[in-house]
Amino acid sequence: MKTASGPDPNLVSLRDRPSTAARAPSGHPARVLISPQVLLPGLAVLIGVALVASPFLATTVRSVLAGPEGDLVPSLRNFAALFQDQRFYSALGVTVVTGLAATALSCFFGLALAWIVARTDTPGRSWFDTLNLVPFFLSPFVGAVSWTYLAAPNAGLLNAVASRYFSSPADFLNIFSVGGVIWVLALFYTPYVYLFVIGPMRRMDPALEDAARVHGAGFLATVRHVTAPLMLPALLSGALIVFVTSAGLFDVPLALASPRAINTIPTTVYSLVQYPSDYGKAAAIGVLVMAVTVFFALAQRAYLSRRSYATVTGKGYRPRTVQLGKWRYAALALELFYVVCGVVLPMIALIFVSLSPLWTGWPDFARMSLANFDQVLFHHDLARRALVNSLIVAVLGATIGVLLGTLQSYYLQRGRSRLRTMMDSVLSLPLGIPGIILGLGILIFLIRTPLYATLWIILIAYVARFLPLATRGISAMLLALGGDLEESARASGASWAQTVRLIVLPLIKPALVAAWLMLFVIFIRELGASILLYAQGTETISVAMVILGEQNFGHVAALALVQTLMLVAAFMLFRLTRSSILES
Amino acid sequence: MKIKKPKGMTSAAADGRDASSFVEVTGLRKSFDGTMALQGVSFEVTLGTTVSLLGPSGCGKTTVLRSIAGLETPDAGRIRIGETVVFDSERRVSFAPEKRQVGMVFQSYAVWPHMTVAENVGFPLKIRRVAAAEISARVADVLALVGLEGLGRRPATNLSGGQQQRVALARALVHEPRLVLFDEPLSNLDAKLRDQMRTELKLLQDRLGFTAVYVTHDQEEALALSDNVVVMNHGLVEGMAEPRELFARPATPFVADFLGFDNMFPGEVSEPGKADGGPQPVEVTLGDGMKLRSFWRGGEPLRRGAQVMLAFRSERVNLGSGASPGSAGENRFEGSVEASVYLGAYQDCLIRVGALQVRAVGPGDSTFEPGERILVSVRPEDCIVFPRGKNDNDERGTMNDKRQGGKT
Repeated sequence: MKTASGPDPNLVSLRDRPSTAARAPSGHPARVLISPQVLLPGLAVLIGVALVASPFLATTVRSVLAGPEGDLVPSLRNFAALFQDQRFYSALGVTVVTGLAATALSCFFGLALAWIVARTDTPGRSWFDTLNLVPFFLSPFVGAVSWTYLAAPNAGLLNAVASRYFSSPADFLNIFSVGGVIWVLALFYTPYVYLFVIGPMRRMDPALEDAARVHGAGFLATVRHVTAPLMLPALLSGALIVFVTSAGLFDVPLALASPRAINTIPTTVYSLVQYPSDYGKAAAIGVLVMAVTVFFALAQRAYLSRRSYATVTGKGYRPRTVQLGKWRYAALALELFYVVCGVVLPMIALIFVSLSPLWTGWPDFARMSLANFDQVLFHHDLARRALVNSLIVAVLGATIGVLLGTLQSYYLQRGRSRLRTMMDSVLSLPLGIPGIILGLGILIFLIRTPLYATLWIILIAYVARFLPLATRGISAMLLALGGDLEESARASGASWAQTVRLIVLPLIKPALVAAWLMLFVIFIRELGASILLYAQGTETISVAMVILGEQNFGHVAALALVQTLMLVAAFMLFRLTRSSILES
Repeated sequence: MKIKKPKGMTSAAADGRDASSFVEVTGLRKSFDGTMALQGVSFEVTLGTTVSLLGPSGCGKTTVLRSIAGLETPDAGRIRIGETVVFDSERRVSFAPEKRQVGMVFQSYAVWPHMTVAENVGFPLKIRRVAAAEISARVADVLALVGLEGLGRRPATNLSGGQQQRVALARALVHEPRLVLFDEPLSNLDAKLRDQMRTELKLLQDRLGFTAVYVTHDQEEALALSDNVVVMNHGLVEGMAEPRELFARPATPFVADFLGFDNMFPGEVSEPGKADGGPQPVEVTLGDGMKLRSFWRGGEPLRRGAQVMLAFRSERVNLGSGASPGSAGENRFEGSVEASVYLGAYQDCLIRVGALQVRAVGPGDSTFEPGERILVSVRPEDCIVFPRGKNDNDERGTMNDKRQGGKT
């Protein structure tokens, strides 16, 4: 080896390589400015910011404008009217109560089921690991509708069974109640908590628990001093998401509370936009909800930065399974109870109703036929249109979402801008905003443009609301990937475009597929973001179910089953590609 | 350090046990999903001493340790700690881990990330409902002992790897357990820190005199820290000896190989000598007719034609340019250098001697050119022999001979 005296020619030639030129702008400043590497991700972020900011701004501006349409003047009258309205407070109360109760119940189910699957010897664990996630993909709205077939007073299937065989009163169960809303929300948000806690439960170093046992703690003391505190951050994250999402959900209260004139904040916004509409008051509610969302986002950020043991480190540990003994059957019973209530019963009810020409509250097997499906798929104009519209919006929206999400992730994970952390916060804001509030913002923003009453406005609302999900999933994968692989491609002489095409995209493909399927599932079933934006001709499946709800149970059930089949198909594909998006 | 006597447990006196063996592990068997992890492991630990379980990964040493702690339930066997039989498959006795009154240091440290250093260390006392004032006093004492004085209020995750290791150690000692278990405690530290911690652990051991079982795959750790070393392989005890005995005269080819006898050749006894009460001098002829003198220290004298393995360490091979006379009775051969790897203070050499390839360590300051003729010598007392089965060159084949080969 030579001694290194004087400049080494190898070093000089390395410095001229394009990979390092971007880092040291002194090399080729002109190229850096216009390179697609900076331009495309930056553009995607700008679009994302616009999608967040415009409904925010439009809502805020509209909330401080009052007066007759066409003669609006700046005023705080909307807020004044809202704060004097007793119905606002009762809606707020119902929203908070249902949100909190649904969160508590979801946490109980999610934690218990995750523990059963991850840490016990309960039979059928691997099956339940999949089954517990099914409600995650099904539509809460369809769940609420099918629970009305099951537990409507005097007409529900379960009430009928109870009164036939146990001679209980026929209104033994009443799904049209605050309790009913809580019940259905809890069933459908349990998988969120489950997903949040099962990862840490599986990844936790079993030695942490072993150490407690060896040093004198019994099983319960170990759970109290070690396991539970270590699970707490994940549980709280899950609980926060469940609370924000379930409190902001529009469709379940619409199906279960509105028929009894019980209102939540989202259903109040919906009725304020119906004729005779009061956009000002609706916008005032929107501003308040958005403020709460921002508050939650900031609180979560502060909490996350404070706790230093966020990640329970792990490298493929095999956690010790707890031998439950006879309690295995109790665990199995809880698992079965959840799966039966969350999946099996609603599906049975939907099948019965959709096959019955006239639903009377009890299946008449002799008269069952596929007539409802025939109607919905081939004859009923509204239903057929809705199916086509939903498919268009879902396929197009998921594709646009994944495209933008990929570019945004690239900006967040690989960009060199100092704004990245701030952008990360801004771009994920819509995650906490109820769909109907965001829909309201988009409506106010675009109502006077040609986009109004087209499918495009629905598409924009969907992408604005759910894009952060795609960005997060893809970001997580990019982060896990690390930059070395790309840098070595650049060092080998590949351009940025070639690196993305040949290295990055193939490697993050699982996350892309998962994000696409996730967005597809959400767009097929979403109601809150579209209910204010649809017009004659641009109805989606869920909107059609709302419209048909008052006319024909059979058509609604058939439509719901068709939608469910689409979701189940996506779920199957999802299990095949199983990737990091669930954990992100 | 005083040993606490747990209450309400079966008395050893009734079993007529030898009081000098504080821990007794008998006939431990365990299989995981059909593969045998332990195939009958037995050993004893004398009060106040440390026994190391040494072996390659997957040999079952950690399973033995976890069985003693109660974290693993063996399929068969018996474990006694002090006067207490904590596990007996025949009598269906199996104490929960928390009832076994031990301390344990885990390979991953297992320092609880949601607690401070003091909370971690004080945990065994807190669980035993010791008064808060006494806890803080004893935690302060033990933190000082492991060199962490004043760090009690730090979050445990705020420490370096070496410091976390000390927290784990302090936690395992604070309640003055009757037995301390170490599961490869130093394997996650970098080499320099490992050497330092090894010395500190030794000092602590001498000072506190606790009884310990120490699991490691590192022979230096085992030799440095234990009064007795149990070498394990494939779920079986290959041999048990004091460190010096183990290092100088390993009982089986496997132990020899594991402890650095990196030259090992099959051969047969061509000239058995007379034992005369001491080791029996033997001459061994290796495959290609090369003859080496050695000593056999087993029970039965070896006969002419006995199939053996002959082994010696590369450090004990002398390399000379040919002129040096060498001491009388040495095994001397001429060979040629095949390769040498310079490692600073010394260099690793591969020497071709006839059909054999001999590993040797040469001084760092001389040069060995490939092809160079060189004189190789090794003293008979540095060579060891093991009997082996007739058509069996595999070291595992001699596993059953370990009792003959053990110390007398």
